Amino acid sequence: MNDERLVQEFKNGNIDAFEELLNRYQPKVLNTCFRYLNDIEEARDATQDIFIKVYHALPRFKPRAKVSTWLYRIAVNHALNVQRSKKKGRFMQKVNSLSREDMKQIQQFPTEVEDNGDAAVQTQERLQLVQSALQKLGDAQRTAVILHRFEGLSYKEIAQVMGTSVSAVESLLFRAKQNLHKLLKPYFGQHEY
Amino acid sequence: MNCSKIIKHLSAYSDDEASPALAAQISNHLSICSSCQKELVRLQSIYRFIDSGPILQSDPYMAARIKSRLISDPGIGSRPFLALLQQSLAPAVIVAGLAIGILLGAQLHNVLRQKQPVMAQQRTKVEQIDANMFMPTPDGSLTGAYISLTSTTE
Repeated sequence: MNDERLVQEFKNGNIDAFEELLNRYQPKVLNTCFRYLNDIEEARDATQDIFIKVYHALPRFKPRAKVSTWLYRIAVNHALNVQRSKKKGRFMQKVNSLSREDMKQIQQFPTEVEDNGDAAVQTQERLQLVQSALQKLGDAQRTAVILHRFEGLSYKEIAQVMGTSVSAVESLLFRAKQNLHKLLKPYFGQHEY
Repeated sequence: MNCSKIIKHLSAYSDDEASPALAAQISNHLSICSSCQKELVRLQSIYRFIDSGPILQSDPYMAARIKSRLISDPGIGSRPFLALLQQSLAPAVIVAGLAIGILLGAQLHNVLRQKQPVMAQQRTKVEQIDANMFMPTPDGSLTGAYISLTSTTE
């Protein structure tokens, strides 16, 4: 059953349809929140809050937009609001020190570079570097990178989530890549530029 | 297309987001331009670095926690029902309210109309009260003299 049909089922009073949507999007929303908040517990709390919001808002959902686009918009706005409400000092402290517990709960995907034993930095350090670099981007650039690179959304879908044009997304991602390159270049391996 | 224009679209090209016509132009340019080739590799290296990072496992207890929160919040469980009411029954409730108002108004009007003659009779009775309705006063008293002076009836 597609997302739109599930929403209609929910509107007709079928609570199981909401549970199906929850199971479908929970991992994506959790990862998106983690990319913004850089703390697993906070990402979990934010994900819960987002789905509670979704539950309340679903009866008013208009099928003009895709369910996934609408859901990502709620998730991104919520994550940004949570992030803004955090004290900057405390947040930056978290960026620089992911706990052992956090790392235990992170599934590692070895890369080709690491398989060859040629990694410039270990996976944990790399996560911290990437997260730290992401936090240094502006909200719009960070959102574009998270949605494109970590959630696999197309430029068009990102434009719909962010309420902007495809060419604006292209520009945001181009500038985000330039900035990320500046921030991460010192940590690239010897075969990377 | 010169290098500055190519570089502007190189990010979209590396993300497979360039239109087929633009992608063809960029491919042609890349085949003859080593500096743009380097720029492409540079852009790709950023995502290669980012992509090699870990991702979170999904939380197996998340759904249960959210459901628990929804159940523990009184009123939330019946939200779809309320929404349904709002969407489909709200106009019917408004029409029913108006109909009841009209009926009650009509009933009230009838009741008032029935009561009107009684009230008119009462008013007539009040108007007919005169000095004769009081107890007779002794002849020669001051009160009797006053009543005889003010009385309009013979």
